[in-house]
Amino acid sequence: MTFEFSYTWAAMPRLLEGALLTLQLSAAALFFSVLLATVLTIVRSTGFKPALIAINVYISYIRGTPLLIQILLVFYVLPVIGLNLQPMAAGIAALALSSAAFTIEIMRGGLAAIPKGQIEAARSLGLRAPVIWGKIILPQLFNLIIPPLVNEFTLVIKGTPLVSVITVVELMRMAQQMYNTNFRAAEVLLGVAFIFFVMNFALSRFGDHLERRNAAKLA
Amino acid sequence: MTFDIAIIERYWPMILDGFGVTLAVFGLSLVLSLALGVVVAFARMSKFRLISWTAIALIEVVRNIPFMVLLFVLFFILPFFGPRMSAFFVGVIALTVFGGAYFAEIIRAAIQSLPRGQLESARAVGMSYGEAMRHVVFPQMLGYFIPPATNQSIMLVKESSVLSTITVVEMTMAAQVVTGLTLAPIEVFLMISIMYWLLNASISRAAARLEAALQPAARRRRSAARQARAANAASASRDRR
Repeated sequence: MTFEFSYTWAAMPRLLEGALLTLQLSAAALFFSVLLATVLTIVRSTGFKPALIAINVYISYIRGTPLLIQILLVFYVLPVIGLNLQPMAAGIAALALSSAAFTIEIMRGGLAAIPKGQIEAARSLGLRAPVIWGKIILPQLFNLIIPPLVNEFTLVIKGTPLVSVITVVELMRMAQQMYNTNFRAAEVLLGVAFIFFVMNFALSRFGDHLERRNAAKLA
Repeated sequence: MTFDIAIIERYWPMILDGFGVTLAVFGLSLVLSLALGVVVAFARMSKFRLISWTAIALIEVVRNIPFMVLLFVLFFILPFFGPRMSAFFVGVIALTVFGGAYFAEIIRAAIQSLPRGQLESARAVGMSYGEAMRHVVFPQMLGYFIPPATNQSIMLVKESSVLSTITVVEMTMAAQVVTGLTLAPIEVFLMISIMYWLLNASISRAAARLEAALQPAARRRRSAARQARAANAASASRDRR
């Protein structure tokens, strides 16, 4: 069997559909990741010891174990505790749970860049914690963390092929379905690699650009 | 939901076999990817455009496609260039290419974090490029190299779990097999999580010891500041998973 590019070319339209699914999946995962990380950041700011310990264990678990294990764990364990999720929902949950551990650290960095005086001033004016978070800290924080979040988005995208293992249909799974019928795995996978490269390369360049613009603004 | 310790007791030899394969894959790909990393780093810094651009292309491609895609592409494309290889071998090659690209950037960042004058003055006192690298640049770059290289080694361990998707029976695959036999995912996955975590923690410990042993006492005091800068260099290699 010889390598024929025509198969890569012919596979492209369907692969691009798969790429769209991958982007939607990643966007949903990133959304929940930011949501969870925001909640945990606020919980952490209360300084409640058991919560701090739990969050640290969670971060250390996510960092110390492979993403694939985390995905399989969510997929196998949720039904055992009575939650029957569709593969897609389980995939989003696993990617979001994994990404949140890194998003918390990104938020920690952003939080350090907000001057303490602002919070002290808000407190001395008698504002309550929900108002301080909602009107003062979070709007600035979200603005500050956009560049690293773009980077995090590329990391989430790079994690998505792994959810094909739990039968979520995204770019990788679609490619597998295609070469299981036409037996042109090398050609189809080359298309997959190309699409991932273009998506991530463009996104990470965009992230670098935002980062430089932010640095220029701060200087 | 009950937690049955007997399952772990009964099936741990299978998991342990998988752990052995994970260790073998990790050890082989660590050594090979470090070697590849050195080659690619110097190619990247080469004066010849053709060589440096080839290195840049390799680094950017590997950094921007998911490891699983790299693995599958190699698994299906390598047979076009030679005899069909075992999944284990393809897995080691994929991890080597993957690690090599990241190590190359870490090595380049470490070399370039040193003030230029170090290499230039070593050359000025009559050392050859090789001598200057070995006696002046190399000993100083370790402080910049070891912390990000540790992270990268841990990534190799974690990515090795993906080899289960091309049927390498490493620890993740063993866990899936045992889960299939026992229908007890919680026990099994808790156990291998701990194994991965222990392996990664030991790598961090070993790296910290290595760094302490390689650095003379006088320099150790400065190493805190240096590690902060090295962490910056590490964030230049964007990936952490």
